[in-house]
Amino acid sequence: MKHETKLSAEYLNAFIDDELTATERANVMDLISSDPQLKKQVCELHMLKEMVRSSYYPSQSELPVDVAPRVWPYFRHAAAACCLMVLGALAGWLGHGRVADDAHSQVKMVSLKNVAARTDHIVVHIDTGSPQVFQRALDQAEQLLSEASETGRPIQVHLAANSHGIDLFRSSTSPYAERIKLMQQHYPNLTFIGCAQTLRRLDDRHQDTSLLPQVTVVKSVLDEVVTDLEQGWTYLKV
Amino acid sequence: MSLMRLFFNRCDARLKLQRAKLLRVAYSWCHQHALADDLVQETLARAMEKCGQLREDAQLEPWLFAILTNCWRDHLRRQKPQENLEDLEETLYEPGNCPERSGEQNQIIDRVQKAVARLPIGQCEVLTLVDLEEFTYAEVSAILSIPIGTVMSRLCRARQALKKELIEFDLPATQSAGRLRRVK
Repeated sequence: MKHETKLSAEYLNAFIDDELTATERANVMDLISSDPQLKKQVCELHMLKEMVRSSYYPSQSELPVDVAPRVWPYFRHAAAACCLMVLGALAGWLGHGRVADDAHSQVKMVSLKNVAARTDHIVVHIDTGSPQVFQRALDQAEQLLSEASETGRPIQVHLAANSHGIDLFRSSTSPYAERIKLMQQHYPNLTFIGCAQTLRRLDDRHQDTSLLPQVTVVKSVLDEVVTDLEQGWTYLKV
Repeated sequence: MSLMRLFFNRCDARLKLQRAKLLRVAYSWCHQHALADDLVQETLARAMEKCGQLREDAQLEPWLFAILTNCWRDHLRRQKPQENLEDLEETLYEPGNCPERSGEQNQIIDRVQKAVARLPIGQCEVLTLVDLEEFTYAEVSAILSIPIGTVMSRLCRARQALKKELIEFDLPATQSAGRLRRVK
């Protein structure tokens, strides 16, 4: 995608449709973090995309067995999911935001307003596919688990991946298969969660969808994250 | 069983798996169940005839949607032979009492489908291929035989129109007759 210094409407659409490179996506995310108007535009575009996707499903009899129909209550999650997409830059829209202390950690922690926050329940979410992001996500999860273990504090951590983030869990692409195996052995309170929707899209494109054995698959990681948030979990975007 | 027969059986099974996807997109273009079904039947029939031309399995889906596009354009031409359909950006397809769905529970779906149905044909095609089937811009460009820049601009205009209708909830009255109409 040709680089553009000013974000045109076409460029924002390309961002929504995952047509940008990882670097371009990162640049857009940076801009979103400092521009509320841009944030609103991106959220609206994402919401429109989800609305269209959720409004055209053939009758049950026409669906292949592996395609679950979307029911309209999904829209509630779609709206929240679009918020999640910009959550890394969000702190304050969903509710009160707490940005991680380490300015270089490139993570943001948020929990929903009007929900009793449970800082001992943390969902770490990744949807981009660079090894650096994978490493940061694993480091962050391990740090949380390690600190809790040392102090004897109970904690539950979900490490959830969708979109390009699923590559962390794919047998054929994960650069951290051994580390994930060791972490799972060491921390039974850590759950790795992959997204069936993302896997189905990969399968449609004839890509290998086999996952590491430690990974649990849910229908939609975004729905899962939203559900966690609604139950008071703290959301951590890498 | 001959090798040729085996080949066609394998091809047939793959085509059937794609039927639901084709039907969904066909319906999103015409918003009529019977017509969508006809378009998909015609698409699969043509695909079966040309199955030997498909060299890469990975290209099956874009190839089928390109055939569906041709079937859809043929239908539009048959419906309005005097209309120049070359510039689909300016042409609306009005399917009558669309969409064919009723009931209070589906009000939001109705609203979305009506908004999509009101898009010019070219914008509707691009939007649904990107949003429903998640084709890349390059794949949509190949399926519809249009430049990638046109894909981007049509998609952009489509979403701007949907935003106006769906986010601002500013709905004009439902069209009552099925026909093609020029926007400009």
